[in-house]
Amino acid sequence: MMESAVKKKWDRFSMFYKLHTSGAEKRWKPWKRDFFSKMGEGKILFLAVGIGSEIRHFPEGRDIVGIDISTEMLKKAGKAASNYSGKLELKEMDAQKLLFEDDFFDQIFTSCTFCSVPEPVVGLKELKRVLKPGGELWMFEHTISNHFPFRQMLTMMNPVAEKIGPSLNRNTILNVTLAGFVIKQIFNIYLDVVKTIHAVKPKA
Amino acid sequence: MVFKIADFLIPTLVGGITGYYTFMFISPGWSMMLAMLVGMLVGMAAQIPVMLIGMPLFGAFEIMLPAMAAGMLSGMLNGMLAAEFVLPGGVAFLLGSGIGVLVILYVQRQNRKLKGGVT
Repeated sequence: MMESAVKKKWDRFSMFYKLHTSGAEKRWKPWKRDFFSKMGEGKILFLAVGIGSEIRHFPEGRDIVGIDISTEMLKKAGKAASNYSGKLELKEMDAQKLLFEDDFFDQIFTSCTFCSVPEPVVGLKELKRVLKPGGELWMFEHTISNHFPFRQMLTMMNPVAEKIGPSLNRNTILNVTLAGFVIKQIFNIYLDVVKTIHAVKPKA
Repeated sequence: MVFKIADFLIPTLVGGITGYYTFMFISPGWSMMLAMLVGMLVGMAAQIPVMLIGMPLFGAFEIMLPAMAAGMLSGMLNGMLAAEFVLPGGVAFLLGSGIGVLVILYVQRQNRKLKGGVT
């Protein structure tokens, strides 16, 4: 039921997604390029693909599975995926119920994903399950701020924002820790709201 | 460069528009608290159209947070002033714009402090 509501929301939002995110994509382009340059040689899971606007930042020749919960988003991502010079397979899937076996991926990349997953710790635990021990989790996310007045403003805007798109009040750093990852580095891109998180799945 | 100009202009504009409309709505004799609250609501309303146009062009949080802060602060301060004085629209706009400038300077200072590696 919840999955279906989320899927419907993002299917609807796919119509405006490019327009809504084009400014952010332009502004974050250098950060995204640097972020995706961390993609290594092994098997990579990327979520959420959205309309595929980040595929252009992927390094060439990687072995990537990209997932998204929205059929409409994936339809729009198809062209960018077919232009990628490497192996890129797109699948419709819920981050909270990944259809991959345990310890399958070497790296997982997320981009503005855990602002939208309804149960973020459940989703992150799924990522941990499918990641190999010692595997890397790289996240480009926006989170709640710890600072006045930004924290209060994001909290005020959140009820409206999450009706039409992402939540603005997620404590993703805490959620990553709660899911059992070990955080290696956090890098703030704008205030302490837009950031990259580098974490690993413990070996033992 | 375009982003730097937008980052500066958008909160300035929101602050100015809020200042102008706050002085239109509120007149001397209003309770200070009510004037402040109504001013804040005017500020929140004023930033919506600017945000809807600005965000697709210039980014999300970099536009939304300063614009909202500028609108709310300009609304509250101008609301309290409007409960005491009558000012021409142009002056109210300039006053609000000035608050918008102060907000963006504060946000940029905070951004310089927070940006970068944390752990």
